[in-house]
Amino acid sequence: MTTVDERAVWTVWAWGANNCGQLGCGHREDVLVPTPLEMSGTLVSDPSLSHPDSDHADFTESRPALAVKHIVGGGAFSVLLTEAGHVLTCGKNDRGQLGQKTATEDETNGKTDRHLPDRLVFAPSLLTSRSSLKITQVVTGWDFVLALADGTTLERSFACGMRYTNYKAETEAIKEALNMINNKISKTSKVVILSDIDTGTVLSWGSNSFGQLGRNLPDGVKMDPTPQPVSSSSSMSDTCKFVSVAAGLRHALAVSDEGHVYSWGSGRRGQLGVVDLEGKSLLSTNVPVLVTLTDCDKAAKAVAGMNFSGILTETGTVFLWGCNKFGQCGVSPESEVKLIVPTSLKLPDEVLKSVTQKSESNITSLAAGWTHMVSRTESGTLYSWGRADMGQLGRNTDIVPHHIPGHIVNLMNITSHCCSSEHNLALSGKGQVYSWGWNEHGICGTGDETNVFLPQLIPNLENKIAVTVGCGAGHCFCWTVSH
Amino acid sequence: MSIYHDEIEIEDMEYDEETETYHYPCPCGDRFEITLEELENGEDEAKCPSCSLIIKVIYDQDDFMVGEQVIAVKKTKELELA
Repeated sequence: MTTVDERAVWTVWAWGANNCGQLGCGHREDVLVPTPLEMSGTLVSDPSLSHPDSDHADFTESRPALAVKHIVGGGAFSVLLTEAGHVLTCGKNDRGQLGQKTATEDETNGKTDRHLPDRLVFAPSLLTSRSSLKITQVVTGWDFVLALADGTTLERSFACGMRYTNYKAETEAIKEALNMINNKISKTSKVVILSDIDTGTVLSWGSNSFGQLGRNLPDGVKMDPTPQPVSSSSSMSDTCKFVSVAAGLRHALAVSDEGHVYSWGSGRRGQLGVVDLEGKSLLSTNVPVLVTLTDCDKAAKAVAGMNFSGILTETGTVFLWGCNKFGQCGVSPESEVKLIVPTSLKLPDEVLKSVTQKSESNITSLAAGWTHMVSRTESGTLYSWGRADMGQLGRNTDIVPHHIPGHIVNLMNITSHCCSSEHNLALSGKGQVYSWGWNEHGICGTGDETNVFLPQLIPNLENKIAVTVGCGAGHCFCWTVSH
Repeated sequence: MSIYHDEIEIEDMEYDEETETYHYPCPCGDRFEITLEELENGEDEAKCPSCSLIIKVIYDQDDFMVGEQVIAVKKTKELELA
């Protein structure tokens, strides 16, 4: 067991567009440089929760249980996932994408008015329903969220009065049992109970205008703020568990532990990857459908851009499909503006020739912007392709799109990276944060709004050690540690 | 370089009946907006209230002329009643 340095200061930094309070910093002004966030009322309200119990044998991570694992965001909202599995949300909530009801929601009868400031949740807050479920992965579409549940409830609740609840608790007997569990939890922090949700279940909440919740909801149900499991499909086995999820603007993807890929939501650009016998692509579905993949080994991870989709297989092959207007699927847009069938991506020969070790070309992670992509190899090298007019590719290229993956030469030893709509963040092994791309609203954190065509260190974070980086559409987060 | 961030078909935009506005996601997190009235007047630029980006809306103006005629008829009736 590693010990946590109790003197360490953990900080969440936020910057970029903030028109709906998506930065969680308590106001609605854009923030041009990374600024520390006060996680008011929830994350740090109880000092005993900031550090693991000294007698907790299972705790092997060097991060506190409430450390930030992922921060993601869609259009003007953000979702933060803690290492322990808690989900916190902030920003715009007009489609229930925060997974919580704000105080005024009932008063306005669910009417949407994006100008009503009291419908915005300014500080990250816990999901009000299903808050006890342990979540292992969250992804965000434009105005909806997918989360992977691991089948257990959280080991302990927050100190701010959160208690375990169960949406199926209809009978008195179940309520009584839950009360007993809650009482027990208030006495000990070690109780782990199984929930009614199986391991590897995908939950969804938020907008359903395009069937993107994948729950077979009746026509006319355009949103649901309550996290609920995605429907199963006839092609799924009874024991189907999901291991990876991805969300585009209006569509979603999930990869099962058997390596199968399912998609749902809008398919107007071929992003569902399903073609009928007449060769026409599926335009829409509100339940998961099996993506047609041929000559493909087991899928491991899914990725989704605005209107395109992709997977990374267990052997490191990339398949892409959907909108290819800017060459984001790795094919010249002059030959195909959309790919309705998943197509494998290969690094160009000139790149492969320059590679001296296999780890330099073996792709281990993928991130998608709205119309561009960045991949990372085992050795920490980044390749980019797709739209380039705002510096999205970080290669100092001209503004013409490039469908051929190219090396971002001035970045090395990158451990993680993410794409926003039109800009990117990368984190190096030394904990340094780089940004490039579109920079209106100060999204690149440089203090000005000039687009960044080559990755550059974010000045405000230069002396910090970053552990996690994350993006929403037009806004960014970073989690640092300092001693 | 085109002045438009993208060209979007009207079918891909969402319609808010309350405000009679068509909208589409903007990369900054806000939305590009164009009102029904603007479309009826033949305008084709949807703007984002938060940033400098603009999209071109692809639509058939004839589809929106019908709406105008209905309004015109309604107005005549109102006049008659008055």
